[in-house]
Amino acid sequence: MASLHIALHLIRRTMGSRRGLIMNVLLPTIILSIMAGLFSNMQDKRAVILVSNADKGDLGSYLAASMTKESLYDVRLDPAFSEQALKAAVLNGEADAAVYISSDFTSALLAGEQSKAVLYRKNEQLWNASLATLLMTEANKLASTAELARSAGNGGEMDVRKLHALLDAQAIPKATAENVGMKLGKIVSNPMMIGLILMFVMLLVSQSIGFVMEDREHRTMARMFTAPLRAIDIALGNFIGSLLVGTLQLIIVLSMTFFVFGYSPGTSFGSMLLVLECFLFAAVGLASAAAGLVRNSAHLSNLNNIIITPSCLISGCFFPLSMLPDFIQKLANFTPQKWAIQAIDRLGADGTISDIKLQLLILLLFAAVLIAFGSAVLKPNQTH
Amino acid sequence: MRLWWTTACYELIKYSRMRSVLIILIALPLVLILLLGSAFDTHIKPAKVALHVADRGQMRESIDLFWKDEAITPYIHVLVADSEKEVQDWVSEGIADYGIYVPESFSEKLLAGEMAKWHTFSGRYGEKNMVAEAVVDRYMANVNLNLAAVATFGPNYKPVNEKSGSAMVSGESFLTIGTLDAGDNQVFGKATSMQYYSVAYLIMFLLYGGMSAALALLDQKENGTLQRLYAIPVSFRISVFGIIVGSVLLAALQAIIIIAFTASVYGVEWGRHFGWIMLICLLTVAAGVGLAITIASFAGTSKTTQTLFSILIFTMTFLSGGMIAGIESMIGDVSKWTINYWANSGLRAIMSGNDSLAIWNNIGMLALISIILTIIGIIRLPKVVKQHG
Repeated sequence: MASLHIALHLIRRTMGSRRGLIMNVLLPTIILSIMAGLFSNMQDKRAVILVSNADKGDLGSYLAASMTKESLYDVRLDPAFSEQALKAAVLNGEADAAVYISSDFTSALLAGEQSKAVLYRKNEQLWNASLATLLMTEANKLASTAELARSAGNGGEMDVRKLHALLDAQAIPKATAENVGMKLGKIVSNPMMIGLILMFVMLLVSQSIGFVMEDREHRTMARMFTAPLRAIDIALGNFIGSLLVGTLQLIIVLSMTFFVFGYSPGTSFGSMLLVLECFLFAAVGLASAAAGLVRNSAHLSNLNNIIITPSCLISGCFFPLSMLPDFIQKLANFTPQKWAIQAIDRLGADGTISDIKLQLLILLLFAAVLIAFGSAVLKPNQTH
Repeated sequence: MRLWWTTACYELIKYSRMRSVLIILIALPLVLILLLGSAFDTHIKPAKVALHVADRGQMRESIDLFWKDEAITPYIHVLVADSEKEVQDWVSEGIADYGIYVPESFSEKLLAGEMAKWHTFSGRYGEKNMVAEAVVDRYMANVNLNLAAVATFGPNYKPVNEKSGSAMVSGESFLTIGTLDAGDNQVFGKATSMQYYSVAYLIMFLLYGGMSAALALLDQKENGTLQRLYAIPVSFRISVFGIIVGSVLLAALQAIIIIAFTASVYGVEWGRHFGWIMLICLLTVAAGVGLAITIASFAGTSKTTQTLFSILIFTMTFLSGGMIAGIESMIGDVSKWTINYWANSGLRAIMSGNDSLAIWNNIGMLALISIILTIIGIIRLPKVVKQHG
């Protein structure tokens, strides 16, 4: 019961003042809603590919059609563009890539001569490398088909019937790749919102641990012994207080972003809260362990700056983990944020609580180990 | 002259004892530059493809050869899995970006003239799925062409490519690729990602460095030590000036360490005009000090100053593209209202090293901002240092 009073007082100190309310509740909510707005505008940006098919024969249209299969390309057919105009459009950013099929494309292929379609791009990137591969495959296929049809004809004469037979046979391919649908979460590849929530939780928890630290420094905590309290009551009170502060912030911020701004990560409010609550345990552990390393609360806030920002970066809170070098990806296993993001990602892929048992366990393990390190901070009778 | 120099040196000694402050001002930017610079590296990172080939039939050899083809290695990194289940697991765990399973019956069905299929598993990243699909398509096109040739000409047709017995021409391509401007990147402009973030975080932390002057003054005032300076027979103004210069020296040191470290360890190319770089750094620090003193004069306590100034710096860095590169295109001209924008563009112009007009434009704007902020800072300074100002 006594612990509860201490805990409630800690809540009042972190969120009770106007400053605390603005910094810890309002600011996170505002930033998250701005982010949600920004990123909803950013999605669905497809690569614009300008295609000018000047080919007089019909093989050019096969090449042009091969690109439209890919849903991530925004293919715009416009025969009015000359080769120079296409180049200019790519350079000034009007198009992300351009393809020009010259007027003699078909006739040259049929005659067995070299006529090349041209792909213009600004610089080499993964998406346009796949566009190049796709076009190259199609062009080589057409050239080989023409070559086959010619070699079948007598004395190098083109057998048009054979050509069309070959093309028709390939139109209904016997060998194909069938995409097996997989349920994958969207959080790991697009973690900004969840990542920010995790960061705010860590910042707030470190602040409430800072208050505990301040109490010790000013010896007000030791004075509590004049009241009929045991050390364990005080330690428990401080621990529960830090947890309650975090939980309160989570519930307010999460319900604002969920219900007011309509953000939905594909999981239910309850299971999301469960994961974040486990993360909160780990965050309290981390903050108290950090507090055990330094002498006063000013140093603690500095130390937390050093721990929180980089650990959020390497654990994939702001951009996908796969963008980082391999050794940093392995390092990320030692951050609680990575496991929380992974758990929410799985929930988003129709996972149930039993699918994320491992992740939750790891988070709680983090909490247990780190709190063991930091427990000295929460107790009043030990001083440096 | 000697007095402010003594005060400044004494300030520096005080800073050198605050280890956690030094770590934040110097080590943190270096860590952030390394992390962001390597994460947003513009080099192509190949897609990791989990592959399991259960097929032991006639097609096996061509499949194995295909995945070892040099033409695809820049884009595809093959991870060999032991079963279809493992392929799936790797894709859902994120170990692989894309998964491919070749069923046992693939060759059999193909030779029997039936439909034959590979199973593919798309991963989380659209771009990587795309490149894997294009590569799979390449194999399928080859197989289908051969099948079409057999269907049209009978089994004894003359292969185009006699060496591999395939109908597909090899060795030459019927597509020309024109890469127009190799150095220019859509997001980072002419800079590499390392250069981009080195500049962004150097400027951000120099502005933070400016805050230490205001905090030092406020702390000394709160502790009452600043007022004691009236007791000694020297100019109070010069002592205060010395404290400010001390923090400017700290920022200069910070700039030198960050630039030297990024240049030698991360291999960041800073261009040749070190004098101009130093000028931009000093102007940035001056603007930071002026801004911090102005805020301190309104905020009153060091805690509030710290909070307000941090939020401001964070926002300015964000708006100038220091957190998400290319944000300027989304928010328009708002970024031009930040100190970071002009300092960043100036430094990046020096790095690309060809357009001195652009450099002087940016430095001019930055100087203007610094002068205005410094003047406001000087006007508001008495509010910060006087006990009842």
